[in-house]
Amino acid sequence: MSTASPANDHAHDHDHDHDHGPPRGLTRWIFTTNHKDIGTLYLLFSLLMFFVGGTMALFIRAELFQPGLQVVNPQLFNELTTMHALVMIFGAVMPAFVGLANWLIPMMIGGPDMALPRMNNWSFWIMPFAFTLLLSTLFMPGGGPAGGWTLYPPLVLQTGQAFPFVILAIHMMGASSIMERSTSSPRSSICALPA
Amino acid sequence: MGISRFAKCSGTILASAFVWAWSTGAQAELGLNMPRGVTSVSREVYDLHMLIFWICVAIGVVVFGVMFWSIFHHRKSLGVVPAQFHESTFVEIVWTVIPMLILIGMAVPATKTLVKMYDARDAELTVKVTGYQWRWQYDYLDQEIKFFSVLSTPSAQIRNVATKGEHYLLEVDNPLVVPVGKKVRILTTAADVIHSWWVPELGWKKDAIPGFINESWTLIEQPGIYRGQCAELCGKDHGYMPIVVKAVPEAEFKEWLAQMKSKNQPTPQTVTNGSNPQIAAGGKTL
Ligand SMILES: [Cu+2]
Repeated sequence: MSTASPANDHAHDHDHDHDHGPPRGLTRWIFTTNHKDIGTLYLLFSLLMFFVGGTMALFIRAELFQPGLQVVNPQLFNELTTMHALVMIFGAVMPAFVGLANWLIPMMIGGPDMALPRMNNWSFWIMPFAFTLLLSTLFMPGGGPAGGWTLYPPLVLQTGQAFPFVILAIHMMGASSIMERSTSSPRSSICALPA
Repeated sequence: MGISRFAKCSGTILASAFVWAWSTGAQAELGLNMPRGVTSVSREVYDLHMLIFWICVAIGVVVFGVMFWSIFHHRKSLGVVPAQFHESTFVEIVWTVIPMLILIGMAVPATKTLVKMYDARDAELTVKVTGYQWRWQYDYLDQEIKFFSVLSTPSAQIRNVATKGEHYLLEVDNPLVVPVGKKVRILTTAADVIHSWWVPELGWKKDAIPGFINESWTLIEQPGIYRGQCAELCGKDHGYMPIVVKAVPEAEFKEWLAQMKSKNQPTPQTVTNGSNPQIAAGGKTL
């Protein structure tokens, strides 16, 4: 295993669960098609987003601790509430499920991997970019989205310059979700089973 | 022994907590329950809420009772052997029919109340309520009276510079005035984003949506001042557009109408000048 390189072929397989010994360093995580690695990435990402969203919740609760304005202004309060929900739903809860699905589905159905492993990798690596974009809207002129996570029009149309970035970020999360769904739905998973 | 003592203790604590929570004093003080309200609809809504609450309590007691009893009396350490049957048509029919009957039992009274809530016929007065960022406008359609109702809590209280008043963030310059004992039709709409007109004592809330007109009605029995808030996130001052309804006897309402008309209401105020100085001068802040 110590000589493992990205060029490893099947003949050097030491682990009966997957085809390759893992490459070393960052590339192992960036290019991985190993469902357990991707599952781990998802779970770590979910934990990070849980802390990000949780920090926002702490600000919200600190403000509500007593009547009157203490910590944040009303606009920022609404931004934090909206962003907290988006981060918790799309950044913490859903990736946590996906991480567990990645770890467990192939083992539960006796498959070697998820269906479409490269798409599985893509579906994860869209997420950090989507959330960097989403969280960066908090620092844009006019602030982040403040109309609630459902993004109801017409209120959401009053978002400042961040509006197109919010929409793009949500679309990226949607694309990631669809890719993930394609790799882990029962039908696709069965495709991954050995014939 | 230990377990039965623990059960007795926790039982006593639970029971006393329950009695305490049940006493109306604690309910009123902590706002644990919804108000009974001041209209026949609000009381029906309250009774429905309590009916369904107790149905839920009964189901919870039965389900968790059986569950905990089974866990306790059929544990492995007592040498209990699991049953080995698979399907049971009888059980499946039972757990389909019982929930169905419970649901129908809840749907019938709930639908009756809903039908009543939607029946705005024969109203004696119609008020159009328009939500704005961040104020309400009341338009007495047949009376040619139209005014804005704006938060009157001083900004110093919000910024913690002054002591907060009794009705902090629940007070306005011009309340909605309605007669008691008369059916009032309330049409809700909005001018910019979605708001929601909510006075808990009336037993309902209604979304105020731009381009739509929603219809509701109320018949307040007790003279008094009832307070509410916007209930749909509508921007940064969503928390600063309260609702105050002042229900007055018929005679007083007529007087108020005449007074308002004699002021010869000018064209509606602009949004930047929401409060009407004429009305504000006439009465104290509510
Ligand atoms: Cu509003």
